Amino acid sequence: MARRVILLAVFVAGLVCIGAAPAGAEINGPCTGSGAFNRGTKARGPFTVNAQDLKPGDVVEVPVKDTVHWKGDISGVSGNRKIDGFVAVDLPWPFGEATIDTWGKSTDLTGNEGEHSYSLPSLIPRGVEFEVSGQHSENGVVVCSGTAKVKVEGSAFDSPLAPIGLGGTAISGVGLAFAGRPVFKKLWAKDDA
Amino acid sequence: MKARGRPVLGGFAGFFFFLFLAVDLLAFGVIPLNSPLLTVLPVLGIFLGIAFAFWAPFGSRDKPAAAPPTAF
Repeated sequence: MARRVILLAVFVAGLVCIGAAPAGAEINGPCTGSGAFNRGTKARGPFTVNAQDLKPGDVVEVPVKDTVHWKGDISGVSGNRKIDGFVAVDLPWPFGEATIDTWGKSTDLTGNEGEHSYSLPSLIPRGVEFEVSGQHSENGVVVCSGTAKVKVEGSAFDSPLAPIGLGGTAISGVGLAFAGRPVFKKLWAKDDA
Repeated sequence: MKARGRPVLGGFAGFFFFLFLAVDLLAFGVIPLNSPLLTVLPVLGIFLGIAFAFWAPFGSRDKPAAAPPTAF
């Protein structure tokens, strides 16, 4: 629960929960955070992402599985206070968002860090952008919010989703073509009976 | 208007064809996960599949009606 306390970690938590890392884009409010990937990607090797260094439009590529050392803190607050917030992944219209983590309790912490190992499902598409968004509130007031774009490293065929999609397209395409063939009826059907 | 093809099959096939097409676009990184195309395409596919079945462009269109079997 402690790791939920501070959340700039909105990004870090996004990382942690989605199996991805705190990724690029923007963060508003007095929160900071970072995530260090132990193994990293094939292209970059081990790397660290600082939420405050990311620019809008940045997309952070993360490995399918790794261990992330995450860190986050918030400034301008002190004492015991009520906190809450969430991290969610944007889904296509009309589904809105899928919440992947929430927090809400009282704490006197203003920073935290930890390590988290994750392994994403093999079905997850590679090279596809996911938008992670989140916010953190102190005493009911939103003090930090942001969005981050993350994509999983690899090519399309590293995920079974690509062959499933292509096979399904081909099979349903045959069905569609069959539906588009004119139907002829025997005119002498009554005589056959 | 009379359907020339199979509109019910066209609706089902159109839905799945465009659903998998959307999956292809997602899997190959053409569209992001939050793209509305992922939900719009399958619904659009139902209507396009039905329309396609009404049109029925495949096969011979001007085939003469089959002659009744000859009596022996």
